[in-house]
Amino acid sequence: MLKIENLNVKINNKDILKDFNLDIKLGEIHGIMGPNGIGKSTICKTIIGDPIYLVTKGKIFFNSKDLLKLNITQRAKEGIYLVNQNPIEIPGVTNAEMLRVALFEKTGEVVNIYEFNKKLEETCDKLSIPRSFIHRGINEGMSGGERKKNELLHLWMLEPKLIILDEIDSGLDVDSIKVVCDNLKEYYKNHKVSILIITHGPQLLKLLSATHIHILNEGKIIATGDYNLALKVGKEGYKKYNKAYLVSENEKNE
Amino acid sequence: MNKLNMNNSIINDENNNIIVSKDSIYTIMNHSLKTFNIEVKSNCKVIINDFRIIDKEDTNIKIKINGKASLIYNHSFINKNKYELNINTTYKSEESEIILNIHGINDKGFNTTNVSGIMSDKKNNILIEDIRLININNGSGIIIPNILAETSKIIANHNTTIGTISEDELSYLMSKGISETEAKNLILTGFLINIFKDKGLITKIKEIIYWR
Repeated sequence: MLKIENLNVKINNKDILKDFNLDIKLGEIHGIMGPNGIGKSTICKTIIGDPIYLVTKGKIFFNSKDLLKLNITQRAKEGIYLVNQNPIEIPGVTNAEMLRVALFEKTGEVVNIYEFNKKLEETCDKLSIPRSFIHRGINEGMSGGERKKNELLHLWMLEPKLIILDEIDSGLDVDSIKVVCDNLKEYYKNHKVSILIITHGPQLLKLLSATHIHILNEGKIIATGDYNLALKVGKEGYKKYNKAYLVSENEKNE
Repeated sequence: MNKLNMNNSIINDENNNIIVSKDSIYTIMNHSLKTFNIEVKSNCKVIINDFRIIDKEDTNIKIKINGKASLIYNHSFINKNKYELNINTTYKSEESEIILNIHGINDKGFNTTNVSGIMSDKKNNILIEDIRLININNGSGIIIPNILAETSKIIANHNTTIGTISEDELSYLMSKGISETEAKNLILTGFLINIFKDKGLITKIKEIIYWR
């Protein structure tokens, strides 16, 4: 479904990703772990097509389409959806209004208001958010937890194929993480999708039953495994995957 | 004389003097009234909602407020050519509040917004000026917010911004599958209506905004 080959990405003239590779097949749930400031969010922003992130080398394919030839809108229409760690607010633009426009642009058909409202209300109930969110400005005056649930409301309405979760556990309390993960699992079961999780720790990966875990360092994936790898990092930290540490360990062996 | 659709508590004479003596909500929608003086009597709460699409206009508003009264003036506009907006506020007594929310889009046009808040030595008054301009299609604007206070026993804030459409907001909406043009339309419309709470007025504005 998503194939990234030898990707180099720059931001503000600084190399962030270097020869980055990733292959996510349909139905797989991948987690990328790494310490702060290592470029995890760069992966998300590059996949969705944020123009600030400059691809200097490599390719990204989504269902065999060359993503680098598509802009943000076109990539979203292909079915790529990002849930940000800090979703911004857009005052004056309601969730309902934005979703109606997005669905019209996606399908080319005027939305059936009855079915649209019914689905919105049912999804609000599922996410334990008030139905008043439907006619509220996007993320306007919402807490961190409410914003993430609001993003899931959009997700259910827009029905993407690849969901990218960028540190969505940051700022969420234990109960909210469970509601968000249960909801994502329900979506995953009901739709043929893949998920890419970006996170610091193993909690989210466990809750979402991630199938493949990758450790990011120095702009590339330096270790891959199953959930046990996440547990190991949870216990030992990232030090072991630090380049300086690896060099000194090699020197010891020599 | 500009006749305004207002309730009995408001007097509108030949000099466009408006005196409000009870709680009122007043809507100006593309009205030809360009200059008016409004006095809010003691203990009154007044909200004025004012939306205009402007070709060439000078608007002068003088606000006088009496003790324990409040006035919220919400004004949004699309300026297509030249717009000079002058607002002068005067406090006649104490414990009153004026909030000015102004959101303007300079679409090719040039706008000057002058706001003078004369708070003098009257105590326990509040003045909040929130003035934001978005420039599109080579539009431009100047905001001149002045606050004159002769006592520290007041609250006076001004927030002014002039910019273009937020790249973050644009990217966010495009990441939901919305085209750049439609995303800009949503952002600009939201910016204009965001200061109003009246759903009827919001609907009317959406109907007449030309880029929709």
